Amino acid sequence: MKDLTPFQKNFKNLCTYLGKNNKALYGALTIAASKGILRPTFTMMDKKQELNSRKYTAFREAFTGAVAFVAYLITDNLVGRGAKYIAEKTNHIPELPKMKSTLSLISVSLTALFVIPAICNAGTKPLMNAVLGDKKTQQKNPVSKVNFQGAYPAYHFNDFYNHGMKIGGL
Amino acid sequence: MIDKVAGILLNPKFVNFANNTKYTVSTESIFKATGRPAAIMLDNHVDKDTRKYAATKEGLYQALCLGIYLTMIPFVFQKYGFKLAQKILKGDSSLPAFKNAAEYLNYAKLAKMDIKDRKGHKLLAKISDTLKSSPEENLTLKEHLLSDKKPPEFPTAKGAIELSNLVGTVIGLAWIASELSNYILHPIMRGLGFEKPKNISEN
Repeated sequence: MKDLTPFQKNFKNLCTYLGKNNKALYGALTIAASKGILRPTFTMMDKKQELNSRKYTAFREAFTGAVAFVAYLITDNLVGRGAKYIAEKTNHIPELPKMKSTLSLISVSLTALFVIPAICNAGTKPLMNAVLGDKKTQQKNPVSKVNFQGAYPAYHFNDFYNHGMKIGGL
Repeated sequence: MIDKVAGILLNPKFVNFANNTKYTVSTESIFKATGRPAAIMLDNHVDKDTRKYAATKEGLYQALCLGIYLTMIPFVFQKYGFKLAQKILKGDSSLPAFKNAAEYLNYAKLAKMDIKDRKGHKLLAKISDTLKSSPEENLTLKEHLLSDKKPPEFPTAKGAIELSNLVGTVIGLAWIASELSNYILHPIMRGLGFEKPKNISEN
């Protein structure tokens, strides 16, 4: 057998580790993390779309990636415990791996269909406003401009209906 | 009640379905492609145009992901990733000269079976008659399968496939699908009537 170069040794160690410790969770986490980073980047590069739509979509995609990452960790843990509990209670210990795979499919599907979208719906916009600043709220409560010509802003005819005592219902 | 749950979880058809990666990925992708756009359309925090854009993008992206996963991952990344790993570790007994990833996967399936089940199995015909883990080895891998209770499993070969799948999934799903969806999203949105032609604003 020939001697391996440091690169070959590292490559072999990586492959052997992945081969011995093959957990679907590692793949799911890597994919969730990479999607959470790359998808929003590509969305922001879509110049054919209006900026605010892009911002919301990109933020939602990143948030989905983050939520999915955590959800997969929790789901994996709960599925392991749940399958073990059911297998022990029903005397199906030898069939625990089978039970784990079916329970995993159910829980991952339900998480993808309901849990992650629900969390994203509830959290995307409030979190986006907190991180990027809520421009709409700022527009609703504009800060008065400093008027160097006097204490009060210059009078405009348009303000006629909004000032002074009103009689009747205008 | 719990016995009924166990019965459902251990239903042979369901177990086979859950152990087939293609089926599970397809199921999850279909749920994502339907559930996520529906949820986006229900998000009343944002205007309708933004919702339509985000929902169409999500549905299209998930559909592209499924297509790429079923085609590019096994036929491109797994195939060439395994070959590349064999080149890198050429001559090393941890990764024998299997014809391709499929031959190794067939070998791995047989190696996990009981020795009595291996003999006469249809997959045995798909394993090379002359392949050895190294030239110094006396027995071929096929002979190991027929005589050893626990034939060598070659975790490095399995890891090479896992690594190829992982790299392929990141490149295919996170990069190629994202870029591809940017190109075809707007024509599809115009086709669905979600976007007016030339209604483009630069920001």
